[in-house]
Amino acid sequence: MVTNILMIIFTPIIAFFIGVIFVGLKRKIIARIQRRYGPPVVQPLLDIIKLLAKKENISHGVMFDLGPVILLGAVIMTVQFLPTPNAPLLSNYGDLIALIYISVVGALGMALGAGEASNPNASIGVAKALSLMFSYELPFAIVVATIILRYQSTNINIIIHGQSYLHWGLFFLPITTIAGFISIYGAMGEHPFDVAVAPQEIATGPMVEYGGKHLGFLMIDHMMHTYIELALFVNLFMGGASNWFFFIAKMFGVYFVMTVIETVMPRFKMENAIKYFMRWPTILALIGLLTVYIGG
Amino acid sequence: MKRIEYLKRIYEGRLIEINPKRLLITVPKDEFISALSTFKVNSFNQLTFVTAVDWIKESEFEIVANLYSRENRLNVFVKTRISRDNAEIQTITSIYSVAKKYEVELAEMFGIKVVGNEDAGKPFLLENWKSKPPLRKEFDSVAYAAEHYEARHVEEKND
Amino acid sequence: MGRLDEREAMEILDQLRKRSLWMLHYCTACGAVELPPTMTSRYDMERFGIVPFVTSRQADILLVTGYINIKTLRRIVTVYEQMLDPKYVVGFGSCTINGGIYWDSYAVAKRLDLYLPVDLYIAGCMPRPEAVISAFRHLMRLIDEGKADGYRRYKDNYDWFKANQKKVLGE
Repeated sequence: MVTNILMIIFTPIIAFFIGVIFVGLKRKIIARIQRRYGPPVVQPLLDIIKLLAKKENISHGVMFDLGPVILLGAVIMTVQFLPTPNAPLLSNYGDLIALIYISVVGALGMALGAGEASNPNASIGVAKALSLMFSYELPFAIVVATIILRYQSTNINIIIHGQSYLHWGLFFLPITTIAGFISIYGAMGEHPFDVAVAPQEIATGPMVEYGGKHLGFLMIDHMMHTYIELALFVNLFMGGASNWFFFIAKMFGVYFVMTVIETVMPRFKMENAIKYFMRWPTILALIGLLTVYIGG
Repeated sequence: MKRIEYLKRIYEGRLIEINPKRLLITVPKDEFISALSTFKVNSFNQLTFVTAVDWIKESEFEIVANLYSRENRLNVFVKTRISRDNAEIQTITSIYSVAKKYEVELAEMFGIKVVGNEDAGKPFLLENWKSKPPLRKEFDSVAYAAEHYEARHVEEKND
Repeated sequence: MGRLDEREAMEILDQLRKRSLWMLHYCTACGAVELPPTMTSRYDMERFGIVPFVTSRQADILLVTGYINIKTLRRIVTVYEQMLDPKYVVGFGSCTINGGIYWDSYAVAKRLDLYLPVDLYIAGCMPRPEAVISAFRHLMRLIDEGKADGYRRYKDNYDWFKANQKKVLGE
């Protein structure tokens, strides 16, 4: 009980540092694939310190300032509902459906804040980000329904317990895992689907007017968001972990596959990305759902 | 090459060959637009540029248009002369619509008034310009640059 | 351990700030053709932490690459005033020093430091990527010693800079 309360307080900080190391390793891996040396592994931390030490801040009103704060609050709350090894945090009080519900609040707060900036690039970016979110939630909802049907519960701890002794979802529900992987890939905003933050086309979308301390907050949120998506995938399909070392190793394996795919892909157009999500991942998720429903 | 023979027959003797890929014709000022439409109908359907040359001693401008034919792979230069004071020409966007921006350059840089093109009077490259049009030969660029923009003073030069 | 006063805090922050400078990807004139070789794999610029960014609110360094057209100068001054402190200006190429090969043109201004506070010049027409990287390392050394204070000079002599701009831009 005391361990649980201590972990509730410290897990967001641990999540932030894990995110920093993973994003730094991602830039290093991309650099090595392109046959050059990359920046040092702690580079995201130096970027955040530089941004928080800027002397001026431009503000467009109260809602503009509150956008990153709402995003930070939603991200910290989402971290509490994911169980870590040896400490279930708050996941006995909120189940899988509540987790999906909460993870959307942050993006909506950010959209309100970015719409307040009087720049047409921000409005275009916000419209594209929300349309993309609407389309990748569709296969993800079918995947969640498949998992609930198989393990007969919505509590994440029971889902993890049903995958012990290497009965992972990766081996026993392969089609559903592939559909879930593609959906979470879309949620992270990596390269085939980073229409919302397209630097060369719409000047980084919603973040176009944020500079200085606001941008520092947004980068902190980005690091923790990486941890949330990877921990969700590992808990649902790879059986959680019994101690922190295996947990981080499994997350890094998934992230390595995502980075290698991201290095070689270009960027989809908006219509192509939405049409893609509604075609193949949805078909795979429906096949997985039918298999579990008939097989019992 | 039948069209070329037809054109040579119409402009008897005025259509000269400079080298095997280029033809040249000089027309008076009133026949400029009809010559361009004749050339366009007979396979010369791409306008490469239209510009002006400043003959200051004869006090005339020479308008030069370069047309290209893709079937026969030939260039033709169509030239005409207009007077230098109160210079004005009719627009040729009714024949070649791509000439719109070239006429803006004629109006801004040479001071030739183009009748019929409503973009030709507004400033495009030079904002807040108060002296003569800069591509005329009486405009002294070195004196203008020395007067308006400060140079860096150095004591010793290593030229 | 007592509290740090502001000057010591700025020194520590300068040592951390010099390792992640962000460049504004605004290709002003013909000198910008030397930026893609510097950014890609052969003469890698990202290992020093310098990344190109596209908005003026997020960038630290303004690179004025090449000649200074009058029409561009009006826009560069607006972009410079939109950036957030602390910010640095680097003059790239010989045309920012004394006019370069366009010294006798009717539309090119000859000196950049009458209109914007410049921290560093890079000579050459065009400078090679090795020269660009060596200039960035020199800028990092200047930031470390506290001598790169262009933004403070702009605020202190604001009237003088504005008078020069008004004389040549004419508004």
